[in-house]
Amino acid sequence: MRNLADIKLRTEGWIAPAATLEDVLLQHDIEQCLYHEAALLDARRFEDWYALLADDLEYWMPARSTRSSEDMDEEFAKPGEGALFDDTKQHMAERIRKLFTGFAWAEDPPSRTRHLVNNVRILEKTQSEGHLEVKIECGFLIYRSRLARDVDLWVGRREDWLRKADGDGAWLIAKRHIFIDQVSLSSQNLSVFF
Amino acid sequence: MLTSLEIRRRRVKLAGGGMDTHTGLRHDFGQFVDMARGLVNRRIFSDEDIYRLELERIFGRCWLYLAHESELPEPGDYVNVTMGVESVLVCRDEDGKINVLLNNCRHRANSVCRADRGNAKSFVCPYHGWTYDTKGQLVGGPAFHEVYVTGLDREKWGLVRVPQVGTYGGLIFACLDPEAPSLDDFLGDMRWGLDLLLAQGELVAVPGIVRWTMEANWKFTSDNAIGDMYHGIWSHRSAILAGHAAGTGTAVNRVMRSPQGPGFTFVGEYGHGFTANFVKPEEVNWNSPLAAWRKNPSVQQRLGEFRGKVNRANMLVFPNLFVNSGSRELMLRNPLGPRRIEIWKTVLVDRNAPPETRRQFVRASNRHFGPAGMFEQDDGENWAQSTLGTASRAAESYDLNYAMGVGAGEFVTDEKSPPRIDSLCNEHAQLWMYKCWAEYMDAASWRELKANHSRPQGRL
Repeated sequence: MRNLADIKLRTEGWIAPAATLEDVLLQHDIEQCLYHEAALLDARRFEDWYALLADDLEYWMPARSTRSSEDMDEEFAKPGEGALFDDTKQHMAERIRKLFTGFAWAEDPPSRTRHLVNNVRILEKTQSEGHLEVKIECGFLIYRSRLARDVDLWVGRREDWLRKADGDGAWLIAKRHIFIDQVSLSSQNLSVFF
Repeated sequence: MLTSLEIRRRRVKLAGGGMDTHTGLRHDFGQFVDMARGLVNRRIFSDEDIYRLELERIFGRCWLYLAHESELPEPGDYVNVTMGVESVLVCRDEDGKINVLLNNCRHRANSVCRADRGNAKSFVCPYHGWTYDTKGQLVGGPAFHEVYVTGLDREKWGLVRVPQVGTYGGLIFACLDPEAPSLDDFLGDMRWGLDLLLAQGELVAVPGIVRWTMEANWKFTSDNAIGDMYHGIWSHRSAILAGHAAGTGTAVNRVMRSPQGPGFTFVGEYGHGFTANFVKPEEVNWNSPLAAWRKNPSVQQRLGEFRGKVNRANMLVFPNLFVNSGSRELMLRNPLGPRRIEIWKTVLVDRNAPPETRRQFVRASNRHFGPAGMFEQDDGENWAQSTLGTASRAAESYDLNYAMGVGAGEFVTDEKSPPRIDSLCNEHAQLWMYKCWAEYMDAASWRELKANHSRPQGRL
């Protein structure tokens, strides 16, 4: 542990470099996109949601375990290890098709969900040839009410990589890494999208 | 006025048999399972007294799966897992031996380890600091000699050792009952079935166990594992219609027309069993890395011609380990009460497979099973609904129907396999499991069970 007296107020992330108007607009733009996405999912507009996904989508929720404080870097399974979601865009298409078959018992009758997205922070911003990509972090809280009395709550942190082609107004979700806060999920399934 | 306990006892009118010392129930659990008509009583899925006796007579007696040896490669490596409802530490000591210890301090009963896994030289109770080594021996505690002025014999106050530990094909099992038969005897011919998976290569556990809970009785998940070939066509219809592949490197889509394809049903002593369907050579995707093991001569030699034709086997190691030879999962379903379980899902891959092949296997399993699995999403929904329905008192006298093909399941005995039934879709293995369940529940001890238990013969 560091000597507390030596730690300055200006720790990374607390006092941001002076924000430009461009930064403020970008933050607003990203937040509005995330809220729009949440609204699509809550309205079960899954085909419209699918259109937000980049063709090279990586959609991943690793398994988690309780570790002692010195092993916290081992808390999450690594890419290629045990995961709850480990999907490409093609896989997401399957998941959505499943919901429309009329035989998806976990979602028929449909769940009622509320996707709450908060604590949105832009962590990286990279302008490459032809497109702008930002890495953001946010918190999520998803409430599901199912049938008369079943209630599930999923809480965690997300890292999203959003990409926008130059001259195009639409952000696409290129990567989503979902870090859920439970080690043993208290829901009988995860038939919703994060 | 009846007390609530008396009301419960009256409700559970269990005739004949002995008196259970804990619940005061008279029992004859055979009455809950009608083998001739293929009926199982609903009460066994939701009754709290029956559940408590199951913890003693089934989970307290059977060999239970704990972990894969590859999860503990180094001295000091440990995993913190559950045997039924008991928290246990599986750890490799400095001599390389695997110990299974109750995670329960001898001083005040606290857990001495609260992380799920890691490497440790010792386990220290957070309350007063009693400290145990990886063999479970009490090493000491803070100011030990100053406070225990009248002495304390450390040899007598080690962690409680689970009396029997064994492995089969890398799978670590332990048993709380010192009188239980050896693991090999307990598994018996089921080992022939487990090799459908374990002989596919040098398998290791993939890091990252997926865990989740559901409001289901553990037996519904076990009877699904042992032989429910009927539910796929309906429970999993949405996944199949959506184009989801089961991760077997084969394309056996006959199940969408009829679940009654070529294959067989196996049941073993002490409640184990499985169903396996066959794959034709033209149905194997020979270019898929997922099917590479089918081209390996040493694997094929070990399996032999008959087992070499198997597409996928869904297996149950009684009471609660589901083994899928297709997408290579071990799914442990631990009870958390009569109407609640926790599932622990482990994926196995071939240690020697190229990284891309391993990746494909893991991804196939990640997508197939688990709470978000294309298949398993709907299993959770259905097992919870079954369990809820069995709590109905109005429907209590209406037994559940396990009569599919009842009486038609004739055991074939030949050189190809241990006794088997040449039918794929039936409810023989499920009914068998409940028969064995009743035998465990009625037996006062392993001695009694060894003498009085069913063997696969005749017909089901």
